[in-house]
Amino acid sequence: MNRWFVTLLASLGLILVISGCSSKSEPAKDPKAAMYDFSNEKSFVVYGEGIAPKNTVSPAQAIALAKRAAITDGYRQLGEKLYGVKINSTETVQDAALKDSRITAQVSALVKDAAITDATFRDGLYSIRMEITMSARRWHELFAY
Amino acid sequence: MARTFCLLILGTTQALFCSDLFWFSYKIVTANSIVIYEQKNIAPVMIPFEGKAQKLCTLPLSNTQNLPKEQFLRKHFDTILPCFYQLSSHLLAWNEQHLKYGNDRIELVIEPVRFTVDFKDEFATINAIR
Repeated sequence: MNRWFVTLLASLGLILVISGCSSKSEPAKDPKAAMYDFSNEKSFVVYGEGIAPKNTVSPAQAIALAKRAAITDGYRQLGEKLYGVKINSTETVQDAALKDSRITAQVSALVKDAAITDATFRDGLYSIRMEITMSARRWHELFAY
Repeated sequence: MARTFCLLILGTTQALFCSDLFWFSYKIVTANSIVIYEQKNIAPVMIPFEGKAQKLCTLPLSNTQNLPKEQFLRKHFDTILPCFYQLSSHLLAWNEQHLKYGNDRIELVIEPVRFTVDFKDEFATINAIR
């Protein structure tokens, strides 16, 4: 009886040792597959602002132009978020005092599928809310070529 | 005489086969958040083109006066413009900040795209053809 019991225990121990040695194999992450992953979607929201010019034919034209300026500003901000901004800065110091300071910011972007989700006009300022949803896959589809 | 006749036939066929297809492009420039320049372009496509249609939008527009399509589109450019914002918009922006003043300039260009407009039941459907 004892002999059977010892054999059983030894067998169980052997099984445990063998199963412990075998590592659980996870599927290898393919970088290309990760590129087409939808789970990492992110929304970029910006608020563009435009001013109604004074020399217009009618108030309606002023509002229309302010709206377009706001949309353009919104696109610029989306471009900043998606592509980044190139900054150049120069400062001139003379006699230990700041004489001149220039900061130039440049954006060059191609934006597709941006949506205008809200728009308001108040006190001559047109404000719009723009949104673009981006994932690695969408980025690849829209911008990489 | 013969050459004029041939050109006339060519022009007529072009008008017949390509009249429903138009080019659209747009450029706007703002300085310090104020529009200083706008360029609105709508022109008929002169060369036949077969491409895939992508619906851009449906607008409550009807051609009650039976205007030629090009004229109608030019007249309602501001109405149809928002449909094209979702297409590729190229953007260039400069912003300069000096000690006592700043300059801001943005150029937005909607690249030329072929499109059609279909009128049905007081609605106009705009499709991009690519």
